[in-house]
Amino acid sequence: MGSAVTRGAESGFADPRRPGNSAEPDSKRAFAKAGTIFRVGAAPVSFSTSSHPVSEFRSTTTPAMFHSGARSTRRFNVADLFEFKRKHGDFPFSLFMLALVLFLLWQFGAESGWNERDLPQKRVGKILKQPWIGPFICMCLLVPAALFNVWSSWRTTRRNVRLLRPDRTGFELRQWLRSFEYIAYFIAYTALMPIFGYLLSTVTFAVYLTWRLGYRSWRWLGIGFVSALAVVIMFRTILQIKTPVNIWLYNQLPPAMETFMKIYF
Amino acid sequence: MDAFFTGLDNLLQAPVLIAMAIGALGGVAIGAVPGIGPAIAIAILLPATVFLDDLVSLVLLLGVYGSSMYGGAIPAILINTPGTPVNALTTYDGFSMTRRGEAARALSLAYSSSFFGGCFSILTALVCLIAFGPYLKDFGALFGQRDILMAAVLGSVLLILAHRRTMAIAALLFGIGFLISMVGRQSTRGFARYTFDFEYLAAGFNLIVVIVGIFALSQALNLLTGKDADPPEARLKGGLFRGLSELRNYPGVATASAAYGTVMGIIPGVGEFVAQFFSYATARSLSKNPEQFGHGAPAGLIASETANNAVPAAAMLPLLALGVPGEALTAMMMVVFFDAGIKPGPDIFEKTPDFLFSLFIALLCVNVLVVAALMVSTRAISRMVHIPNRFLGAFILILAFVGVFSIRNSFVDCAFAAGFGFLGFVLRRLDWPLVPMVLGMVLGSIIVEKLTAGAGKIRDWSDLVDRPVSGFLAIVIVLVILATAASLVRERKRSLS
Repeated sequence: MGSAVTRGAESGFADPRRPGNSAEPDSKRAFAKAGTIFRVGAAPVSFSTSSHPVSEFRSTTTPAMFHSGARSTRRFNVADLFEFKRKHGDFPFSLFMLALVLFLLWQFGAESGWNERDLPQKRVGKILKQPWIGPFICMCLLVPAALFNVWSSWRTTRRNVRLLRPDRTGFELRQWLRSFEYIAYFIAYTALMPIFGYLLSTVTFAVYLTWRLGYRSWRWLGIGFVSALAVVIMFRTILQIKTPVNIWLYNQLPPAMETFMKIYF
Repeated sequence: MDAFFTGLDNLLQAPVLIAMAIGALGGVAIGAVPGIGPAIAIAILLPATVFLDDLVSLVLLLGVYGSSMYGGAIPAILINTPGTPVNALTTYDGFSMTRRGEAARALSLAYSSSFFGGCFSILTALVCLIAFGPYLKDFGALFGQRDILMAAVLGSVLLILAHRRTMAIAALLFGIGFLISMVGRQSTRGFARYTFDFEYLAAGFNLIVVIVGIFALSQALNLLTGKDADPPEARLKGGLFRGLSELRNYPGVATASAAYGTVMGIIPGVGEFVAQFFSYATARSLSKNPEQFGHGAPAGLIASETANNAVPAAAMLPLLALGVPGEALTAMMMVVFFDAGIKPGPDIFEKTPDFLFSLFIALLCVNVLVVAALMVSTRAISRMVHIPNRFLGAFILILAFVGVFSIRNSFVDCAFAAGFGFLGFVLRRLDWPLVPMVLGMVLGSIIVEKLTAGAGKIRDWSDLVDRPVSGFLAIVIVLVILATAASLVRERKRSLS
């Protein structure tokens, strides 16, 4: 059939005489940026050379001959199941992993028992019992994998630069840093638990987090409170998991209630 | 047959039955909420199982494992969002059917196919246990330390090669997991490896701390820093009972998919995705209207859901038979086995065959329970998809704390879990796979343990493969590597031409 894939600009959709489209490379770039690809049918695309402003760039193909090259979103494609695209931030993280692996390799002698190795041995079994053998296997896997991964990530980064794709690494790194806020809450919750007890800390933490996340109506705060209470009842009361209790607070309660609260909350 | 009835008898106790019901129904609910998934639920529940009876714990976790994919089909079909990652393929045909106004039919078919797939693999396992039970007692004698070592190496190789597009990343994370399992005092010579003189690390990393951090805390951070989804309202009209009779119109697709799921589940490191791929491709080739696939073909939906649910029971087999977990969820269950003092491996057929029967019968009951519950409660469960993501994240954070703190009431454990949570969060953002890291920890420790235990009989390197089973497995490892390399070279040539 001799079908060809061509850019919109080449098939007569861009008028080069318009401001900004005067040079062909510019118009090509404009369409390349838009990323629109049209599959042209059997009929060849031709450009008229007449001086009439409208007919000059009219294609002889009819609209019915154009089919979008975009893949149908609902068509099964095996690759979709295993698809992987390196995201923004992949290269710095790959570099970090390589640095970590190289650090572990540098420490291998002292930290794995390699410096106290007992070689050569007549029996291989005596070598396999030595403490460095496990870390040695790890290093044999880690070093080439980390190097190959950095190389692969670097290639992707270079390709993205070449294709003028926007670099959102900074944004991605900020997203990673954003998570530190919640890690800090988690650490604070854990640290304050022995002081305030499981019940009080969990309820306070849940309600605060609900408020912090923007669910600030009384309804949502109530849902947060009840959900936290349900978690405490499930783990502390029913499953009897040992968690810290607020002894001081429970000592202020009437004796019968004090014992009950100490056992179940 | 004695073992079968003893196994059944073990299950007929109130705590076990309650755990089964909670696990099954909880698993469906967890699967129905996009963003949680069985791995997170099992990671959070793991520490709680320390306080429960062995069988109760395992039945609870198996309930979650066996039922979550049923729940995952609900949002996949109704709102085009898979509840668990393995339900992704269900959206292709399931959601198209919903758009045609056939949501109830799609859900009913999904439940029926899942039920068929689950029962197929469980009954296959039970029949094998009953038929070959007397011979399986001698199975243990075939497997020495070096054979299990080779099985673990094969599992590791398959796991890395299965991540076809991310092989280097999978190898890197597997190696990191392996090294994490090496941290601490070595058993034979007492050498402290990679502790950097930090006293806490002398005992090594607790597997539960790593699992909760990598799976639960990372997902909590992911949800908390993300945005709330706004899923559309899904209306469900019509009955949910007709799927069972409709499934009879697709016997070839259903049976082939269940068989693929069972076989792929047994192979360590392969799992649901590959089973789905083969099932879907087969269903399409069997169909008279292959062009309908991806546009609401019932056979496509059946292929995907049947293959999914055939995997859990089959995935238990390498864990129970060899002590080698093939995926993250079975690796987590291994923790319960260790806590219970049961060592999964070839000896289990001789020592506790009733325990094996109990597990598979429990899985069968879970499937029946789930289908019965879903037929009447789908409308209620489908509303769970509207729980805001960030609110869920906050509660996963709270639940993860209990998971870690309850192990030994240690603040340092929580701090390390937070560290692993951050690592998992970054890996999730970058789309790097999490499973190799956890399996690296489990399989790595098995490899080194078996290498050390079998060292006495190894005079030279060839002794590693001089037994029939270990030799056969070594040949399989070499063939798998060569086949993958050849396929990669072919792919490369095709892309260049």
